[in-house]
Amino acid sequence: MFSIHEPTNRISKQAVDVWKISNFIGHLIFLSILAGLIWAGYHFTWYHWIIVVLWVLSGLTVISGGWSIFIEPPLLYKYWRYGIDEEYVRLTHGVLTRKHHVIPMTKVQYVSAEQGPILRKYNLYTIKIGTMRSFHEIPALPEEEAFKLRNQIADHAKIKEVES
Amino acid sequence: MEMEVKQKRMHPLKMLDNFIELIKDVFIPALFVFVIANPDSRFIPYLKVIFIAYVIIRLFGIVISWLKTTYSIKEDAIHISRGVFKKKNHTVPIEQVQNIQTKTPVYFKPFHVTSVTLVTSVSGDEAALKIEAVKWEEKECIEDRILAFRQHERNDQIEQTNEAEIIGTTVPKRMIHFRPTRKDLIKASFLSLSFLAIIPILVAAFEKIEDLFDLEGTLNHIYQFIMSSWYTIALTIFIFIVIAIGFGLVRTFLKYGKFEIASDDERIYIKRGTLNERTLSIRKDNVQAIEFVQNPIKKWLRLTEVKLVSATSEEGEESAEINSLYPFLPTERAYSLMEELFPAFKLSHQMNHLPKQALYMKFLRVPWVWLVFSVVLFWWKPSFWYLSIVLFILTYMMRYFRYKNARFLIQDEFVQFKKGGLWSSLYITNRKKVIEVEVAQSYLQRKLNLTTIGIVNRTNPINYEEMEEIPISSAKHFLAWYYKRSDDVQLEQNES
Repeated sequence: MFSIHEPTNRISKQAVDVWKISNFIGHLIFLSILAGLIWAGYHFTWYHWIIVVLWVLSGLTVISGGWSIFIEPPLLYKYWRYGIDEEYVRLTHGVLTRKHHVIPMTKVQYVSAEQGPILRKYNLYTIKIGTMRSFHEIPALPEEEAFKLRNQIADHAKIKEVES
Repeated sequence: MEMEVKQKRMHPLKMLDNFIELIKDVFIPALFVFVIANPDSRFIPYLKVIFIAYVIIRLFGIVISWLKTTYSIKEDAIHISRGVFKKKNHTVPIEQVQNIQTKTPVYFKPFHVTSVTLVTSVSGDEAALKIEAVKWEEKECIEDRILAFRQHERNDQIEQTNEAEIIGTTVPKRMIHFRPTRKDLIKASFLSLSFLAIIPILVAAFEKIEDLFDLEGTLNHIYQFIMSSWYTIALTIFIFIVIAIGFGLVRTFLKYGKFEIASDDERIYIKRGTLNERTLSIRKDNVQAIEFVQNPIKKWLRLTEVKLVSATSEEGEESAEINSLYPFLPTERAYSLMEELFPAFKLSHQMNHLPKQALYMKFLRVPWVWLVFSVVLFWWKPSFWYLSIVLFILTYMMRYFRYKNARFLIQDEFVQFKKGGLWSSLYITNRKKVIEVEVAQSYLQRKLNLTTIGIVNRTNPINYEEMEEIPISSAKHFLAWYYKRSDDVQLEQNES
């Protein structure tokens, strides 16, 4: 999109499934809470407008679920790129709004490989890169690649700038 | 080189400071217990005992805390230890200190004592270390220690020699750059609208008094007297205006009267305040960016406020204030002052405009504020429907102004953003100080070949500045510019 420095490495294709499952679970939980509230609303005859709001929320949740379970994950995967060299970490991602981050290695404060239950099922890791601002994540990398990347970043990040 | 590190107590005036704090805390309760409360009540004697006991305990606390609080200045860190029952240690590495602020209340002055706050770029409550009371000589010693850090190292390095550095290697000469004249101060007192400050003060005072005494009857009399004729009304208003302006002048003179901006090769010193004196000293290298800010009135009068972007202490607003060079500088002077203080910073006035598409993009953005306002308005007060139209026109006028006034420049090691419609701010920083960059493109921006670029500077913890609607070619240039950062910075030798 922007330059010869465009990062080229992609994340694991299985990220799509991971996102689908986790978004499905998340929406399911939220929907069941809403269903419970709606049931309670009818049962205990709450104000009418509360029930209307709850129904609207449920509708929005279904739409958001449709987007984030079926449409978004493949696109997210399609546009995720990362790249590192001795001097910079570069990340590009985003479906509607596409973002491009450049972080000097010298400004990386920590790096870790993390894994939640769904990622564990696929034997994938998320790399978390901490900076002064907050942290950046490279999601869903195969184990071997993730550890290699983590060690590389940790190695490059060891060198600090002379602060003058 | 093992240096003997002395654990020092603070100046005993720390206790005076705490004592004044105590008085402030207990004044109202004391008034209540001893004056206002009905003395026949059964609880009052107990309350008195509890109150006196509390004050005595606090007094002991003040003395003990002074005895138990020590600080020490080490080679590379400042250390403070406090706490009566539980020791609390706080160490600040000197390299993390971004600037030093001091505050000298009136009652410290005759004793040549001041409080010193070391402000770091760390976030959270360990962000600043405060030494409540030290002698002025001691303060200077701390200042020298911190601000001169790594000077030796630097002299060893064969750097590109700056002319300024050659002159200044022997004795750093302090030069005064700015002191407001009486005229400046009078201008400032009107511009800062400080005469309006009397209103909240009067209201607050009134409320306090009303809490204690019943004034309504008296007030009614006064009110009726004033309203009885045009003559008294006019007189009252006149007196009020005189008092307000007088108050504003006094306030401004107290605040900016002894204002002074000075610098030597390495540092900048800002001093302000007539009764209570505050200072800021900062190494030029620790200024992360410079911002020129104008509100509409200042724009009209060609005045500008210059702000040094650096870490601020938690005292919030006051600290933000001290980071500003004099807020009412004539615009030309503001720029020349920056050149004097930062010879390394090159501000260019020939900046790029935004392309035509930027205006379309600005107009295409959803006007959320207007939408929400209109919905609420039509819900609650449909008869004021025209306000919605007014806001709509204002919103789009502001967008047009913002488009018209926006400028940006990416050149040499510097990046400059100029933003704002009626208000305006010009932000300049250098590549080395930018610790992260971001380029984002929304769906619509993609269609129009535009981007939003953002930079991160290190304050506490960070300061994020972004510029919207930058053409894609400039964004590419911006990234290429940032990749050259490696040429600017020097890496530490890897010793491991």
